[in-house]
Amino acid sequence: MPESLVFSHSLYAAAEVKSAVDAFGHLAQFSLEESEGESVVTISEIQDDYAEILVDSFANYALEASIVATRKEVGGELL
Amino acid sequence: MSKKTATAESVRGPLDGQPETENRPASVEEATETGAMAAAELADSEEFTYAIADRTVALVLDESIYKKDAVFGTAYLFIEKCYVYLTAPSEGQIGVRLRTRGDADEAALEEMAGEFINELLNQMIRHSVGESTMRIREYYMARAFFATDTQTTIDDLLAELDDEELEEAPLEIAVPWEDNDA
Repeated sequence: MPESLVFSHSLYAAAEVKSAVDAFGHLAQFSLEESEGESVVTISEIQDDYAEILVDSFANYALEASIVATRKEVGGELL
Repeated sequence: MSKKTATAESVRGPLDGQPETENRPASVEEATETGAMAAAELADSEEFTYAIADRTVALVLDESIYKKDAVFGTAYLFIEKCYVYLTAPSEGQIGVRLRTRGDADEAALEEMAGEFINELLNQMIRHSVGESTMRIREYYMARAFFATDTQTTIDDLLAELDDEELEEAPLEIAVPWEDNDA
């Protein structure tokens, strides 16, 4: 059953969500829809081995990449 | 999903009501004091509400209280421990969903919620102290990178010592110490 995640651009960088889709693309079927203010990712056909963790891992990846990108943008250190 | 409350820390941010620059402390000690005051303000607080369900803790943070930068810092640390997903349920709010990597009972979930809030406070104080000491740090960086000739270096100090030693000799001629002792 497909699962959708909404990534608000106030919290996630659109480019990093896209890069997460590219990184996880071989493990499931991803559809990415970008609108003003958010990216909606629908995940389906997840490989059985990763069914339990893929959606959460994808969200983690997108968040980590977005935080790193945001910190780089403002020229600060990560922590 | 059941709702829980905890005595914490969720009301006013440390920077609320502070002018941008006028009240910045002039020293690190003063900045640290500002951080401690911020912590005291936060501890003097309302109840904090979160919801727990199967392997999941969900909470909503007010962005006017919790700076986005502090939420990011906290989330970044928790990515190592669990799955983190942020949402924007409405203007000025940040939704946080934490999901454990394995099975977890209610006590473990409550502990995780508490740890998250503690770390969030820690990040906010770091943010506050960072802002308070920004001018001092900029000053030292500027001094380090754009030092003038008046800056004392190791070479200058050594040269100064040599000059002093020469002044002690009547003819100001450098004499090896072995010969001096002879």
